Amino acid sequence: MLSALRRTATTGAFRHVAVPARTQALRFSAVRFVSTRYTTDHEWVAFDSNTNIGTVGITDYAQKALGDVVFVELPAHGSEIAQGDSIGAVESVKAASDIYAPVSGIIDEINETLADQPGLLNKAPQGDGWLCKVKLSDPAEFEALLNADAYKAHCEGA
Amino acid sequence: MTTRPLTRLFSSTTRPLSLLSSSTASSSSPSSSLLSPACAVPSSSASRGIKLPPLRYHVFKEPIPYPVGLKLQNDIIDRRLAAKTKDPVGSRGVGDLVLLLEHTPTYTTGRRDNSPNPNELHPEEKKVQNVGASFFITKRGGQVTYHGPGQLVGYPILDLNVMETSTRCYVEYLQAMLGDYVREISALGDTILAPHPDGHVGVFSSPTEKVSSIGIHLRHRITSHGFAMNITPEPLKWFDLVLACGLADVRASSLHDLISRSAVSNGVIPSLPSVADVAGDMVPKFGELFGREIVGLEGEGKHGVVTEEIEEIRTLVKKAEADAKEQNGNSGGWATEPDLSKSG
Repeated sequence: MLSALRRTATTGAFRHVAVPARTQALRFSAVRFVSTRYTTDHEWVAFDSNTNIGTVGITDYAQKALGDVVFVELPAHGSEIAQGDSIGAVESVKAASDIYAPVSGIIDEINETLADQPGLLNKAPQGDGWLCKVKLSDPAEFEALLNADAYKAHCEGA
Repeated sequence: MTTRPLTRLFSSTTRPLSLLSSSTASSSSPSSSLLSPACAVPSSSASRGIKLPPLRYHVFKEPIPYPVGLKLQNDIIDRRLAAKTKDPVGSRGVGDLVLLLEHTPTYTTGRRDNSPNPNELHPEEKKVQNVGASFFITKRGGQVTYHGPGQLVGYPILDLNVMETSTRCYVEYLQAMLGDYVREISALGDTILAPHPDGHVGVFSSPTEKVSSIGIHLRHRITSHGFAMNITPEPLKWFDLVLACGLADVRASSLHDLISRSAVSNGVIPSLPSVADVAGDMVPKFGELFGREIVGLEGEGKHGVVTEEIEEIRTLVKKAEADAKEQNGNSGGWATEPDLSKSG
């Protein structure tokens, strides 16, 4: 039986990210602990320093270059990955591009929706088309990735 | 993203193959392959005039076992990635290379078919268990196909980042080049479809016949695997045993079939090229397609610079040829047709 998403065991339910309780009421929305950085392989990581979880995906630049995505191969939940490891692939129009771990850690969750809707990667690569969530083993790796300006410069220079 | 423009877009079918020059005219002939707008737009970087080193090529003289070709490609890419890390500027495009070859009888499929249960055979593999061919699951895109003598296989190993070409445009360019070649050499013009009217990638000689396939793998934007074109009818009996490319109502055709078909209707005697002839035709086309000098792997090129990277690649290719010869010797050669006596 072929399934569009190859995986072994999964948690099933989505994890809720814990937000710290505030002793004083704030009229604004809670302070965001999430920041986003990029790699030269056109991936992004949105790191939540509170939970130590980084959400990983490919950028809009990458999805444009690929064309219509027909299949996404992701690592198994619970796999240990090292920065730079090949962790799966995105297939479009007969070309399968390897995707690489932007940071080291353990796969906490994968985006099950991509199994039935690989096109989400084209429609919302930096939103609903996220690939997987990683529990970082070394947050310093995240800090060393490109910030938005550096990534933009990389795209333009490419 | 914009893509570097091609110096030669696709020529009119009225020009005989032997008179094709590397002109920069792009044709508006309806028989020429059409590119999607994103891939036809010229790149602003073209004006930078950065010249890339020559494209290299190597044609294998004897069919090689599939794993030998796979290992060779991966070893070449490993060397290229190492060279890139050591000297990102100097290595740009140096190892860009096209391998042209035949395989011994082999069925392969792409990574979509990577079964989570290693004890269970892929359904297509079950069909061809004892016919005299191997079956491999690979990391390329695309589905089940066959490779074997009589079919030209091409493995362009190109750094798409350095060539400023997106993945989707690379596939389109390859498809268009192959489509145009089939059109010209078969003289069948508009009946050759690339892509299929329903959008399937490849070169089709009718909505139910496919003559050439494409399946690519990219590691850090360097391509491997590539294309296959049936030249003689030898691959066809093998193709008939499986559901190729995931297309249930499409059969394989060969260039010889197509040339004979149009020769008959034109009342001429067909001239049927060998796989080696087609490989020879493809070499200059790759140079023209990407606007680069194309030189044999063993050659010097106009610049006469042969780097360590090229030497390493030469060594890998020689070793692959030696391995192929040894393995073919050990297995006593290969079957010219599938053995159907043992299938259930």
